[in-house]
Amino acid sequence: MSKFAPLTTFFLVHLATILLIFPEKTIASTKSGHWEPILIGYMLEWILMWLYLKGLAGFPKMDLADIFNEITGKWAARIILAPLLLFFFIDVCVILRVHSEMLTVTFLPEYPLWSLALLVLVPLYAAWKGIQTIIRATLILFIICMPVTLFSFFTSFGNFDLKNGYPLLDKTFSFMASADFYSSFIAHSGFLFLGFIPLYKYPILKKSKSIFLTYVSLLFFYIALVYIPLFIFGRETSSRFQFPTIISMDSIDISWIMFDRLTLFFITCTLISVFVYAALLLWMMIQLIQKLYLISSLPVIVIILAISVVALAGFLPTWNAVQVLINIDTWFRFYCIFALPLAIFIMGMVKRRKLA
Amino acid sequence: MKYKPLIAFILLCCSFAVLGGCWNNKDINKRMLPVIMGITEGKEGNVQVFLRIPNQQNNSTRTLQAEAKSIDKAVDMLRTHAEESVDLLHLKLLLISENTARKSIKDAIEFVIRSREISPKALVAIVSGDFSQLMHDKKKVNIGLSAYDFFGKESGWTPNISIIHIWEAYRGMYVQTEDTAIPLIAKGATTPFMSLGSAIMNRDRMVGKMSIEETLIYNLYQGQYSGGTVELMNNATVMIDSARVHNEASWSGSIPNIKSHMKLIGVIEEEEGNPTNAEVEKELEALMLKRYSNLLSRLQAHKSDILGLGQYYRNQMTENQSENWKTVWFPKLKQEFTVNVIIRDSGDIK
Repeated sequence: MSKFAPLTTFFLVHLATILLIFPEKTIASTKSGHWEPILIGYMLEWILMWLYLKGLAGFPKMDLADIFNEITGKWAARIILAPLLLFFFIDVCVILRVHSEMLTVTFLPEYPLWSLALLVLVPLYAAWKGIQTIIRATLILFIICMPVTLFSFFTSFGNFDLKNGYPLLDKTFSFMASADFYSSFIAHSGFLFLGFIPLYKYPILKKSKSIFLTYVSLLFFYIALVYIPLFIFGRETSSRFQFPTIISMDSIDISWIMFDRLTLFFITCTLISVFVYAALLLWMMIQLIQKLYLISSLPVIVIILAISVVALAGFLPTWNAVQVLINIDTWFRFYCIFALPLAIFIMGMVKRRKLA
Repeated sequence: MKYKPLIAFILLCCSFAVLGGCWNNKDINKRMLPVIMGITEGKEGNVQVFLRIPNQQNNSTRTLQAEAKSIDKAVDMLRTHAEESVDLLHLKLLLISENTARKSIKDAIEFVIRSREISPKALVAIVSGDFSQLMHDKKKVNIGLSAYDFFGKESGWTPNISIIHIWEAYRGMYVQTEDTAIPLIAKGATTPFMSLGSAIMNRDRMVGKMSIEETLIYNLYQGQYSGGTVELMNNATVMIDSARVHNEASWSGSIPNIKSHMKLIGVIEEEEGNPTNAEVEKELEALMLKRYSNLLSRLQAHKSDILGLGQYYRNQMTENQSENWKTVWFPKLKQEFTVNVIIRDSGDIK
């Protein structure tokens, strides 16, 4: 069983952003044919992940920081990977802020936002304990979280009006011109963590087939989470909501008292997967900082990170500020998910040529 | 190192601080839990908000009432004047007066959707007649959730009443190809409410009324039929056992043209004289056809597509056409409606 743990990590890392941010952005990106942007993003990630894994296979027992260190030298590595560090940092802050905002909207209206931003302490603790703890923990979290998530999906079928999914085609590809489409790639950057974990310790990751199979199962979630609000509310209405998935779950009426607010279960699962993602992001940041920038003790880095994340996430003044931050993040994200896998792939090929 | 247990103990003691609870936590016995919210217009453009709060101890209902410029302000005034905290989390029914609904239900529905407390699963209904009298109703039967049971599919609902949740009303305001039929009620004599049929909505405005019989057709169209009865003019009453509608949408030239076929399976409940099943079937078909075409022409005049016929055109219309569905295309819609009735049996009597 535990050999599947890295795959569940891979799964939850993607789910974290699919559940809340991705649907809103995708629904806003086009007026019809939402499966087009979903599939384009999905295929792009597939290709990039393939390049990334191919490249990484050329450098066994090394992570991203080591590889750049060796090939380009320390200073170049510092410059090349600085956007990655920034991207991770903004990503953690955005995710934290969006989820604490969601918590205040749904069931903790009286809480100050900064107190919810303190939720970062959970992933920080996990990051402190290291990657193996995180990966082992995801297995149990996966088992707890998936049945409920799937249950809430299937009960939402009762409110579907499939005709709301029409029109099926967007012949002009209008989403290409929409900033929201590019922001939706927040759900396609999860694969970067594969460059940081010690792949050789997890035999199941040696075969890239198992990773891609996990990725195929994610396609269902990419499509389901966008189409649940669309089928229930129609495009015109669901594009008006800040959290379309949450309100879709809220509309499910089960007269069984335990499920009176099914949303609570859904939100708990969302938070669990977000904890996993945030823990991984923080852990990767710690790795990068320790290897490339500051050689200082772990507790110091963790405390500095905690303070800066809570400061940025908790004290962003408005929701618009969060959106601006997401847009800024998009630039860094595109650099990280395109340039880095390509660079790794090329370096891997060059190294193999040399050996042969 | 020997201080380690001590530090651990002190840390453990610190966790007691958390026992104080969370932010602004209020005990359950210091909360009022209203079940019904009523919204109507007050004097000089104000909004009047009522809350009905059941009190299980002495089997009675309390009504709070406030008037202000906006709904939110009125709720805030209610909170200010109430001796306990007013918690809208368990609100089950939103009532809007007919006068307000004829202007717009937008403010009321958006208030609920935007609010962080009220569940979008709550139901909405429009009240005809004296609003404040209904809100101050002191009848013993009208306490607790009985008002909600009136609409509950597991309790008192029949297909003569439409059911609209707040999220559906919100969807009806914005979706381009469908409208909603919100139930229309009045104060009952011995029951909490009396059903008057439904209100025909055009986006956020009430534009007309449907009778109870027409609401039944609407429900049959939506596939909600369990136990609806139809009286025939002179010789029988039939209970509808199952109903299915099949639609085929197309454009003939520049006019939308829809072919609908309704298949009803019914059981005879009562009969006078001795009509054959075939006679009853025929008469029922003719009756449904007449009622339906009557309803459709009225809906077209009101430009309100409560049957959701536009939904069948979503994949055939351009964006521009979708936007104008309710105003331009739906009134032009031609429908060929056919009914097929099958009488399954005639009860226990041959």
